[in-house]
Amino acid sequence: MRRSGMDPSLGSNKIPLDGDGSEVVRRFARWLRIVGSAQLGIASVALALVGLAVLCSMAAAGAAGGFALIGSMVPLVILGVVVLQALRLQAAGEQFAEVANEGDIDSLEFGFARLKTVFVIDVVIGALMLVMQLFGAMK
Amino acid sequence: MSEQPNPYAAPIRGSEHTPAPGGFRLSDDLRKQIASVARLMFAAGGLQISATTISLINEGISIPTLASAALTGVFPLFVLLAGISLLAIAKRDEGNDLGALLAGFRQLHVAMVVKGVMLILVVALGLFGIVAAFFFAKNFVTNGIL
Repeated sequence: MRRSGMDPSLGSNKIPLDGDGSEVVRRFARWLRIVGSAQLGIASVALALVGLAVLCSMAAAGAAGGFALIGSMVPLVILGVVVLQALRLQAAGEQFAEVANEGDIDSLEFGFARLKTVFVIDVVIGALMLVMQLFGAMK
Repeated sequence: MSEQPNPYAAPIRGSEHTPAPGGFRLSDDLRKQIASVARLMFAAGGLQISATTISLINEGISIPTLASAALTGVFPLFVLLAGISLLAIAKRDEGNDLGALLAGFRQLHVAMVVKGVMLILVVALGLFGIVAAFFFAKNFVTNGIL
């Protein structure tokens, strides 16, 4: 299998991690998985509770409250995105653990690909936080 | 015929560069990918720190607001720093890429520890709340109040 992540002029397919470097990547990978698991747990419980609340309100409102229920889908979508971010964090953690153990250059590439999704979501969250604070400041 | 090298051909990009012995260099594709993630980290950290700062100004400076800002501002701060470290990889002439990569990983590790501890505290408080509510309700039932 051809490795694409390394400069071909070097000839090696592995990241030359020494003991300390490998330990840095391993601890980073472990905390990525811890954060992903904790976030997944919290977001899944919240998703289940909000889903139940939406279902109950749909049953209570019937067809008349359909338009209002579209608004209640917004928290579900937000929680879905948080769950996606948690899954991506866990996947990135797995990839970086491979980097720490094997020095695998492909895993480094895959790990950064998963982190990209995580930080795209963080940029959107940051932008929303900023807009909300700016609107709060104008009131 | 076509197997013979052309002595007048333009040099291939990167062929004139001799890597340092023992140095670690990423390919251009991976370098671009890491640089784009670093820019996203920089943007995410910057936006969240700005939001925290504006929130602090809106709510006024006091011990609770400062504590809240410290809790919400530490994670984006280290994400921002990690973004700056990883952006060094985008510069081709940095020499060894491993140093910048590990510096970025160290700062991201601190950011993840901060976020992880906060999330674990939230989970622990949630579980404590559920257990406390259960025993509170059980006490009411066993005492015949409910």
